Amino acid sequence: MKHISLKIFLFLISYSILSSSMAQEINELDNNLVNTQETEITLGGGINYLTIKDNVVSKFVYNGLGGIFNIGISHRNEAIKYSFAFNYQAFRPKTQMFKGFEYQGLLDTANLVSVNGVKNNEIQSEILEFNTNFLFRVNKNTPSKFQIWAGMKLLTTGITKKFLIFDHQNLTEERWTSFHPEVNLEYHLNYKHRFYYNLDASLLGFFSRDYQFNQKPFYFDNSDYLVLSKDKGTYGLSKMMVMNSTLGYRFLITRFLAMNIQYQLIYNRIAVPLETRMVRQQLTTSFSFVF
Amino acid sequence: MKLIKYTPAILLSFLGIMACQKLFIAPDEVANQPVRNFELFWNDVDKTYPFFKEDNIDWQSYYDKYRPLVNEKTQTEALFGIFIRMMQPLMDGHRSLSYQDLAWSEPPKYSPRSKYNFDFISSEYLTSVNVTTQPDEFDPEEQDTVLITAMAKNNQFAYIGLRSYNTEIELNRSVEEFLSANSSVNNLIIDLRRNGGGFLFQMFQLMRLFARTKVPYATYVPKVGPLKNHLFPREKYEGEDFIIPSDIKVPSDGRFSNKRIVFITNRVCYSAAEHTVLVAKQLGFPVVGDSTGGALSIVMEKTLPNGINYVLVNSKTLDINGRLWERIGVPPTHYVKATQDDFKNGDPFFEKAIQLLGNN
Repeated sequence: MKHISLKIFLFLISYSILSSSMAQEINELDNNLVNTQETEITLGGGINYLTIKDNVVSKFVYNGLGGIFNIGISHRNEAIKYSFAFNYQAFRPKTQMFKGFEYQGLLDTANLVSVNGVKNNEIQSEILEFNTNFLFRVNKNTPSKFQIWAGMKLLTTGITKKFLIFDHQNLTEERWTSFHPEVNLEYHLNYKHRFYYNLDASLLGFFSRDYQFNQKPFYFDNSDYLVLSKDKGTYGLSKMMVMNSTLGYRFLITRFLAMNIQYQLIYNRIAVPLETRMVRQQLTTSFSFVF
Repeated sequence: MKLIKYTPAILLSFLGIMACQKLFIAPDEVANQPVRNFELFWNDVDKTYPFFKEDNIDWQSYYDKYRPLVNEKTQTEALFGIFIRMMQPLMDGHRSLSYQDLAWSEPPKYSPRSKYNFDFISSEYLTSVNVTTQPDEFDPEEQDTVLITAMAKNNQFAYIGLRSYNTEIELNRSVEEFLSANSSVNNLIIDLRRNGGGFLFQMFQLMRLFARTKVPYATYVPKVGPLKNHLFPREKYEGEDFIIPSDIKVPSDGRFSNKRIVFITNRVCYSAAEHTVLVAKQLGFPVVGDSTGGALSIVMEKTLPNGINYVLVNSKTLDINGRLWERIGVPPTHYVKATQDDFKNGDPFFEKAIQLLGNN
């Protein structure tokens, strides 16, 4: 944690210095708050804190800090903006509830706490997200310092979770696809500085989950998982929900380079076959190449 | 400057949002030990117990009923009592609980003397009776019988009473020595009554003496996944040797496979002893008497952080035809109808075994 904080701090200092040197050039653009057309390629990363209560895995709450990497492309003009973004996250959320719990069997499974690097008090998770946004400017005719955008978002999320049931290593693979109405607010302090807030929540979604397990790792090759069963279906808001709340700050370092700092709260809920809720809090820094 | 002015508000908002996760997911009560122990117990049984369908039990309803009874002031002894009430309706014949001086298991339905009269057998039929004992697990002052070997007075058959597999004594070696010393005797009665089970490897080592080939005799179906139906699909694996998923096979030695053997069983015959019955039937030996006790599946022993120890199964053991005999008991090949009174001055099961050996 100390190292991550230090790196973020150094980033901020570096770009503050860089921005001062570029200030003159940018100030010239202050009268014109936003380019009429703008395309950006964004690369970023950050930290992500996940809290998950997946009753399929266990009844316990698991918490864990993870890393996040994202890449995206976006385009905007005065009337519309759209973006495609991909992000990858990895976690090992843990629960304290198993502390002190022991078991032993007649076979060679006594006091087993770990199989293939998975511990019995943790879930190894990976998340892949593909995010497509399409937004229209709502207040096109008002002054452009405060902008309201509305539109739709298509979010596809793949989640893998590895966990133990005794010495059986389980793997679930989930696919969430959801359609979200979306509202986006932007406040441009000037050409350099912009705050934005984004809120979207799913109305309809498709969810599927494969259950696989790795039987008896002591005896068999671990590379093969066996598909055991599958849940899938299309669900409305009462059964499935994905909500995303993003607060961000964008800082133009040069005319062609911007830095974004954003905090995101993402809530996932699926009620089949058993209630699963997941909250992710992400703090990311990204750099955009603007052209 | 504006940014500096609004910084405290932004930070407060940020902290507020950070706390949001608790709105969505309430944290576990880790510090509350009775609740944590209850949660661990309930969750473990929920994820690993294989017989909810057969028991017709909605385990969630047990959570809803018993969880409100547990709070931070609940004594471990009281929690123990709650666990007893929760475990009582389960099918598993091995289930038990212990904590310090407290112990609970299903009260035996049948007396150890049920349909078994060794005094009669010994006095009427047997000679050269050799009894192997070991100190009792709970009371070392007491001696438990593990193995009885004897010859028939008329020298027509040998008798092996297998009283327990819960021993470090090498039963197969003792039986091998006994049979080698009496190699001229071709008829053998193996009496499994009063055998409460024990180590399965003892059974394998013993029964391999009588198996001509490696014999699959049962199927081990473990609970491997988190949902109720996540039992191992037996058709998807090829079994190898014995203790592995899919078919459980008894290895072969075959040194005494030419013997004519009759097995005797009754309701006081559990676990590894019931596996013996499954093997015997698969090898084509007659099994005489009554059905077994009905506790065949392989146990797991668990200890909660508060010290409560509990035993439950996490797999189903089916016979080779896919039938489940848990709680029902493995039926004999030759059922002998007899009341307890019939055993006062005789042993109809033993007499039927002699009759079958005579007819073989």
